Amino acid sequence: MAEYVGIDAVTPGQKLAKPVYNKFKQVLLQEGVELDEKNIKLLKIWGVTMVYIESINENKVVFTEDDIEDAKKYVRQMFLWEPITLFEKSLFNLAIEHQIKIRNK
Amino acid sequence: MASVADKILAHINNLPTLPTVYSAISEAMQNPLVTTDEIARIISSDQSTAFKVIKVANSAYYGFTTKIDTISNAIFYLVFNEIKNLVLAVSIMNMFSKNKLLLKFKPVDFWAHSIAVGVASRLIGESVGNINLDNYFLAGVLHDIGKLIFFEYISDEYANVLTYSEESAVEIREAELKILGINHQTIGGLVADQWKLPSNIKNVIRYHHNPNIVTSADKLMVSVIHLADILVKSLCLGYSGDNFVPRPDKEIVANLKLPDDIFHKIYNILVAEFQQTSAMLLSN
Repeated sequence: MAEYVGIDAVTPGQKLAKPVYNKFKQVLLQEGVELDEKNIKLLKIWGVTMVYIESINENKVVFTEDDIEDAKKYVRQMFLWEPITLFEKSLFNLAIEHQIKIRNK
Repeated sequence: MASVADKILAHINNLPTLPTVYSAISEAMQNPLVTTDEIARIISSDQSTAFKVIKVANSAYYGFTTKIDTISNAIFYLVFNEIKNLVLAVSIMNMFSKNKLLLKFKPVDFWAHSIAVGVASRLIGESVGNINLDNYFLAGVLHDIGKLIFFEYISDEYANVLTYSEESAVEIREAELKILGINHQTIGGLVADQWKLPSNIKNVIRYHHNPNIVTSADKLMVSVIHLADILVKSLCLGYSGDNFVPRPDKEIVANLKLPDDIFHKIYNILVAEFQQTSAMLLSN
């Protein structure tokens, strides 16, 4: 998950989950950039107060087979149609992934 | 005996007008020489709306990097049309009951769903390369307004619709047609006419389940909101009264040339922006 945090809470090593823009919508730093002390200081100089960072804990959650089966069952009840195309399957899978995440929060 | 449709139409003809603050802004914006101060003065006459506009202007949704702490500042950054849309969204949310409950249907969850569709619409709109996203958020927020009219004015009959939809496993728009003889798209369209909303928003309200009917330039926006609604229902962000996810229109998906994993790509940002924007707009 991305987190929207104040610039003072950002620590070196965290990665941007979304580009940082100035008020003219020009990109100051791209998504994925790993922040270090120098660019955190620059962001402050540019007047940036909030940024999106990638949550460091997002890959640490472990799901059981039961969690996954429960989520699949729940999502199948919401879909009255069978996903066929890659687009539809991707939507269906995202719905399952989301259910797993919220059940483990 | 009057039919349900007649009963609801009578209510629509007597709907409250849009709040003065919105009408005053719309009128002021007709003047190309209107100043920021003038618009700020009008919005500030309604303190609760002004407060929410400032809060939302500072949200992740707009992504401004500097703190916006006055209405004049918000107007400077958000441009007039976006401010007008925010005022309208906040005003309409304030017009309806907040605490009523109809089976599982609650206004706060309904608005959360609507806000999520607004946020998702902008993200999908960006993904299709649309640089003009004016009105996307507002269209998302208002797309299901017809359901709220049913909920507000014919709640007993609408409870039957919700029950029928769940027990018969049919989408709510089908249940509405079966039980009421009219669905939320049609009712919402009439409300949009009554309130003289912009034509692209009217088309979204009328056709978000059938975007292929639209042939005008508004088709892109209606198509994007069609998909945003489906995505938000799949993720259960808020609750629109519908327990089932409609199938994305294949022709619309093909026409928009979206990558198959578009929803995965915008997921993290959608959830983060939805949480923040809904918390701000739905707080008292």
